[in-house]
Amino acid sequence: MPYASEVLERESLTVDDELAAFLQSGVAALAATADADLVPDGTRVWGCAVAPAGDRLRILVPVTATQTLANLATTGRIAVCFTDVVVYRSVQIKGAAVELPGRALPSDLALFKSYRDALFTSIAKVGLEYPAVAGFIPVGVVPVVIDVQQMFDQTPGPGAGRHLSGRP
Amino acid sequence: MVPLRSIEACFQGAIPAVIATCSADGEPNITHLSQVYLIDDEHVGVSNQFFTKTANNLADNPVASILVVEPSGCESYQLLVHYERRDTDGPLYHEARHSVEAIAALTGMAGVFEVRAVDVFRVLNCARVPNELRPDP
Repeated sequence: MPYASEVLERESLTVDDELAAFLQSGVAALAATADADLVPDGTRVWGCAVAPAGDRLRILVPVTATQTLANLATTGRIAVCFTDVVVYRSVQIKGAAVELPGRALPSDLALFKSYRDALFTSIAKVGLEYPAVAGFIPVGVVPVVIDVQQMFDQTPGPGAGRHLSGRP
Repeated sequence: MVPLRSIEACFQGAIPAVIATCSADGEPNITHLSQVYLIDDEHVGVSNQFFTKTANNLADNPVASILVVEPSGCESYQLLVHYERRDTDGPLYHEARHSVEAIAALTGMAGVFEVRAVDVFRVLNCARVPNELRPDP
């Protein structure tokens, strides 16, 4: 990837076990990227698997998110916001895409289905139940592997914007 | 471009929107919004409850992407917008304050969600996000 030498010079952080459990639960997740002209793009994220070492995330984005994927192929930079829709706990993770596999594995599809069910269970708690939420469901998903470089608490309130240091 | 008037339900505040911005050095950022307001055929307003990062990004790079959701079927629409101005008074500002205070009261976030201003954006494009039910863009 053309951006890798620049972006990957940054030190990786690691996600601790508690945060990993949060990221891998049924929390709403959205990603921002930008192109080389700094035009941002947002898309929903449909599942997250934290690497055992805690330093990388494998996230799933819609296969139709062509601008997101193009941005990742050129600039590599990404921010992903994870939010519990019931209690509003929110964490933003920023980093660099280090792999764009291009197609989903069977394990990715299993992750997508389990995440979708968990998300819709959470959303139902705030009053939106299937089939009203059917319009959210993507045509398909593709994986993106992210090197974790910054983590922020984004929960509304006085702690918003606080750096999360990660596992030593 | 999808006419904004055809998706007015997206601007009722039923489902939170999100805004993606980018810093001058290329770092993206994304955060939730309580509500996006339809001002006219070409402009939307956003209640400014932003974290510093979003406000700083808009000051340096006025282009943003906003995702809004139509509440009856959860179809999403992506707005490419250009930041124009900040209103700290006027009808839209007061509407936003009352609306966000109501949302905060309903969600137990009174005193946390606070509207400081309404940021007004010109909409450059509006496109429906494909989904499983309607896969074509």
